[in-house]
Amino acid sequence: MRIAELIGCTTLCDRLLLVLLLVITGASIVFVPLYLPHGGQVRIEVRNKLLYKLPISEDKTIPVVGLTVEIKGGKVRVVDADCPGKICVKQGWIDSGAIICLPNRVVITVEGTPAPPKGVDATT
Amino acid sequence: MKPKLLTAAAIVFIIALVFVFKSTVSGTPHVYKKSEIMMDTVITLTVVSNSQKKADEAIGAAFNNLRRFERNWSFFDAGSDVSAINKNAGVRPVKVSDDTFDLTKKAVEKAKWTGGAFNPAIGPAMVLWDFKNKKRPTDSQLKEVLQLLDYTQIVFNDNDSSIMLKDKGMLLDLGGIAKGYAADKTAELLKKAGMKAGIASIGGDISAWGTRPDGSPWRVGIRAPRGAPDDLAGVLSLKDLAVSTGGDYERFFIEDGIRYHHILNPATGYPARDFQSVTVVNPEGVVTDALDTGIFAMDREKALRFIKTNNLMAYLVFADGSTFTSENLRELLENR
Amino acid sequence: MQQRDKYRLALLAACAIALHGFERLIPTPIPWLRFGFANIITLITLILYGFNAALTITLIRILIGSMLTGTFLGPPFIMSLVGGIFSIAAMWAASRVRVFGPLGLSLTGALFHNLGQILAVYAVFIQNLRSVMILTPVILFIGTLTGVLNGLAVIFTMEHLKKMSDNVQNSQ
Repeated sequence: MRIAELIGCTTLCDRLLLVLLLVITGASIVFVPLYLPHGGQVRIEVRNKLLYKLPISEDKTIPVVGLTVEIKGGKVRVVDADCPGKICVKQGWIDSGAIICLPNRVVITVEGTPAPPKGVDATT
Repeated sequence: MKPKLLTAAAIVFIIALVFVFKSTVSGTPHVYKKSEIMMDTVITLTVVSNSQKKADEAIGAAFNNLRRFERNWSFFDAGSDVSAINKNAGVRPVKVSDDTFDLTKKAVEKAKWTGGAFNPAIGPAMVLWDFKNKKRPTDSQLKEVLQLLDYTQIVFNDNDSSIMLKDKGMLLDLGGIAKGYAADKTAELLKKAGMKAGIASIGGDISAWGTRPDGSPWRVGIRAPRGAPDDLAGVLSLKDLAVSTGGDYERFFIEDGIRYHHILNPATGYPARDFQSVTVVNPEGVVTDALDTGIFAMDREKALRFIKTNNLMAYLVFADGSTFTSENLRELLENR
Repeated sequence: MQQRDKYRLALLAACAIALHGFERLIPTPIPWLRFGFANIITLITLILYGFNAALTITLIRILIGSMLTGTFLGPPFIMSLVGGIFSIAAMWAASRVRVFGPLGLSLTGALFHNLGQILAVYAVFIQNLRSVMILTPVILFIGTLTGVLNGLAVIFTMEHLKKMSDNVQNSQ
């Protein structure tokens, strides 16, 4: 029995279903990831208002009130800040958790990547 | 067995199995975290929940409640309960919200407990210091206000929950206790919303309940007073406990080699000199917050005696950099 | 059900277990890629003997199979169970419409088998919507391909059975 004969035993609806499934699933493979947020998300909030939501995978440098925030290689840092202590600049690169600049009321958080288990959950 | 019976049995079996597994295996709850800047500090709420939706709702509600606290207790906001009390010092009692009444009462209670080392009437001395612009008051300016720092002159009326400062010029300042109280109330609120574990961190005032998803206690770092902001002096393992640290590194300026910081000794109006930081652990955040300030304002001997007689859990960093850990805290503290 | 049918079902279940075990021996480039050959037997049973018979042999296959591989009551067992029930229900419903041949039924079965498993994984084990959303189309796509393979196998078998029974009838 040849393959052609086997195919001859299928109904029109069978073939329609096959084409439909292939098209839908094939298209979903391509398009679903495009519309999903990428791995880590960098949220930048100023005065408790969300200002930016950026994928951590895309390199970018953006000014945020008194700060300059750089996203590069899956990490975020504050390059420069106009506040006196510059604590946020000293914190350096992070790929999880948060950088907070109190004087400028800026909260930069990385979402979607869990914090390392050995770290602390809070600081007093 | 008839196939129909078999089908029914199989379906019941599967449904039961799925439910059993859902309740047991689904023990992969996640940690949800959100930070906002409020009450002049960073507030981070952490909860453990099986559902992101529930976690977000609970955290949102908790932040809304904290916004209400901020409106009630701000020292600077002209519309706050505290401002209303201060404006009417020596004039008339002011009716306040239940939270403000409760908090102020607790503040005076802790002031009595510490013999005035923690003082909610520190306001008149506090306003003379400007840590942002590095300005300090003169001796005579401070001396003038010292008799206004009398917390026994805060009068309560339980009937209409009103508060009055007896003397004109007195200023109520709940800054040394409000955050710990807020941590307590926030933890309570989140617990009520079904969050079985979490951390309410209001600045350095932390209330931790339950455990991490893996069953281990929460780990709370204690800042090293003279290190970089993320340097830790130790790590506490906490379960159903609150912790607060008062440090001379939080708000300060240095003039002629002398560090002037925000924890004032109510007896002199000058920054307290015997400690770099004081950490207190207790089931209640309102206790830890008031006592870190209160113990900081004591001298070394009095502080140690106070900790001993009250059997408090405390970690002290003295002015010379040496440390003390109370015996009952040693098991919870991992030194760095 | 007649005694003879019972033997046939037992035989079919044995076939399904054998295919299920055989399938595990085939190395696949992707760990969660499975051909689902046992579905060939399930579908043949469904066509020849109806819903109850198909469900019976699937339950037997999953139960015995999981005991043989040591996964009884474990996560793979739950996944097989949910997937199996879903696919039989879906294939049965599709067969009632009477527009699909074995290929269409096989595709439906594969689709719902995978959907059931994904649902079970999501509801019971991991609640990471993101990874589920990304993996689902890939799993369903591959499932469609293996569904075609199985569907053709069913057609082949059915044609063969038909010829055999024709031969038997002719010779009688």
